[in-house]
Amino acid sequence: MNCHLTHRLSLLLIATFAICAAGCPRSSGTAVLIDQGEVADLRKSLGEGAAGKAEAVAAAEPTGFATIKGSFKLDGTPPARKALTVNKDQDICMPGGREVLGEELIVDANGGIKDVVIYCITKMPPEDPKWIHPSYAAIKEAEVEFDQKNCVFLTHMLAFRSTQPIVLKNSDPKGHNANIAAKGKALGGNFLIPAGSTSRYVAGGESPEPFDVSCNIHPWMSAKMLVRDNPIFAVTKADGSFEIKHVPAGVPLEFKVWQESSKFMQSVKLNGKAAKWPKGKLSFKDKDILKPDEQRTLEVTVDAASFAK
Amino acid sequence: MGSRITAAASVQMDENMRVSGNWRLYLAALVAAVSAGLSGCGSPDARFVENRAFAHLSETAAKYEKGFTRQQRQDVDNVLAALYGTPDAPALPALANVDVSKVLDISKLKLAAGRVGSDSTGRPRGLYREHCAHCHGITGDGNGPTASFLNPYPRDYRAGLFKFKSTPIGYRPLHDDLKKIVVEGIPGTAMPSFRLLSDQEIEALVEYVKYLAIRGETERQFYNALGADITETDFLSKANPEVVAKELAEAKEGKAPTQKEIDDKIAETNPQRIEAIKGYAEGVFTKWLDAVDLMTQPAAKITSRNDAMRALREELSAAGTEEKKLTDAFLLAESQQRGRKLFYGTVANCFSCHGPTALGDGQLGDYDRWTEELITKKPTQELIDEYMSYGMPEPRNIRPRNLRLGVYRGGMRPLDLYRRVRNGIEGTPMPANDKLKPEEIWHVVNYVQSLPYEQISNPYEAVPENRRERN
Repeated sequence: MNCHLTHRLSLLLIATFAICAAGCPRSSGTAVLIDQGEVADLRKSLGEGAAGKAEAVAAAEPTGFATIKGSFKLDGTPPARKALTVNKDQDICMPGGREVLGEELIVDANGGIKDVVIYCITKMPPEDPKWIHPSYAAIKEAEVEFDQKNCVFLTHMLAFRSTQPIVLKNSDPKGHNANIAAKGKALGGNFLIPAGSTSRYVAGGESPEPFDVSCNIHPWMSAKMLVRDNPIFAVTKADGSFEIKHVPAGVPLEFKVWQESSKFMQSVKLNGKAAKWPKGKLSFKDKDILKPDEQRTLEVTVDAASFAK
Repeated sequence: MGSRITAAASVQMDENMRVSGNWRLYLAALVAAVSAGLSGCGSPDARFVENRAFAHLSETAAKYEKGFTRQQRQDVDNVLAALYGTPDAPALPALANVDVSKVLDISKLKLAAGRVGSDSTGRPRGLYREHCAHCHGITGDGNGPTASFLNPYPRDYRAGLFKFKSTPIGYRPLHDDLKKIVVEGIPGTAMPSFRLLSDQEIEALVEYVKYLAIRGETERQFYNALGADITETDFLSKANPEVVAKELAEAKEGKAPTQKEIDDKIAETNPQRIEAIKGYAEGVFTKWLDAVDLMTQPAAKITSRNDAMRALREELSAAGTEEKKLTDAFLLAESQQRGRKLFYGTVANCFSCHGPTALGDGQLGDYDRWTEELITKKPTQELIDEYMSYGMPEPRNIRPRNLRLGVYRGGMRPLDLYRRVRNGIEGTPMPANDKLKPEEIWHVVNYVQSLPYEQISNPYEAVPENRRERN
């Protein structure tokens, strides 16, 4: 009897624990992980305010300008372009009932990849003529046109400088809107562009990677924009070729390479040799630093498997 | 933790006691256990939660196969805690290039932060948790306990985007825009009016919402930096003495550095690290100041509806309409007619989304920005499941407003409707329209306001009843 009771009691005891323990934690999501010592150190340093300001590091200065040119080619069979669902305004958006194809990856007969963007991510002083060639300074605030016709953004990948105003144009007899889902420091916007008219967009700050532009009235329409503070970038043409003039020489530089279907390009063949670009990062440092007036050629081949099917 | 230790001890006790069979001791142990268990229960300190969905977006963009490491995430959390404190003790960073006090008032923040209660003078504490957190969440992620029952979902503040405001798309809202939402609520949603709170309390809540938005956006920027690796992201993590030692050894051709050399090297890089962190925070705060600057410029002034109606009267009068015909009712009808034409025209293009009968059925497949940034415009079920596992609420399509109901989320004043047409609605497909002249926008507003009272179709007019026949 006694034994029986103790047995019951111990069960009760364990059950009580189980209930207490199970009923305890109430959390949703992943609570932050904090190292109190590190936080205290950081807070102390942050509190130092202007006194703790870092002294400008005397960085290397460019010794001239070079040119980077080359091309992006696909190795293998490109995936077939998908037909888009055009469920509205077919008379304008599908002239002659022609199918409209997606533009994620466009490869020409020779394997040239269109709309690969290569851009310099090394920080550079925006006004310093040693870094920014005068020919770029002259077009610092030049307008860039971004047109649409037959419900297609005519520039699928638009790279521009944060100081350049974009003229959003509509060459269709129907209204469109340009919904700009900016990233980073670039300002977003969503502009209604009536038939045959224009609107203006100024990004004001740069984006770390390309972002979407879409039209909500015609949801199949899509384009990408990349905003940079510096002018050192290029988008490949239909044959996959590109050229960036006046790239600062004599200093280490870092570039990023991005394409809509592959996103950041990681493994490629550069001038015939296999190369890894971690997170799409291509560096010119040490012996690869550009020399003044050099013409650097980048012939890049990308395996078809790198692209989304 | 405490209860688990006691549990182990009592199992031990169980073994020892079996021999003596002293059940009184069991009862004592039971009481002790329950009280130990309960004392450990209480509610744990509130903690911010990580923006896992956005972190996942960044790590996917960066093609991190295994995702960010625990260390990377902890680095972000540490820096955020150092900048902004905790839910119980909010803090603000001192920034060299931005006056933080112009954006946030720390004394008001403290009224809203912490546990619900009051201080010795009777002033309230923990207002955010009392009034907001059950829907908007401790972190302002729009994912409080009740969130999943609501349609639309509560706002996730962490992108810094708010729909109903006086500033254009791309700009942060003004303090007063957020205050209006707290005071009046959002008709047609679960957001109630908090008009019964004192002004001081409402002010505190608005400050706290801004605080959570700024903290959340800073977190996103850090993940963005980690993902896109656009700048040196070393700034997030503390310098690792082992790595520093190795670098120094390499520089000295294999000679091991002394501890002092290592410490000096770490101290030397620290200011750059702090500078980088502050740079990110400054970027976020600056956006809130930019909005204020923009809206104080004369160009931001809006003509009133009265001005528009006066202009219409003058125009009609000049065109030879008889003066006695130009009553207010006549002018309003004329304005509504013009608005109707614009509504179905190609410049305003309202009908293409709001539908040919303005029932809000012209465009049904879109997602709002908060959802679309995670799962794209045309998500697969796998993608939806993936992000839901990271805390995204079940996605719903965003619908253009049904204009026949007369319920306007951003406020029912004509000025509110004017702003929706002129500036668009942040984070949604509703675009800004700078092509319409101010008077034209007022015509559209007048027409939209008449829609709940306008017949959708023109059925046969009821034939007047013939009384004689019935009698």
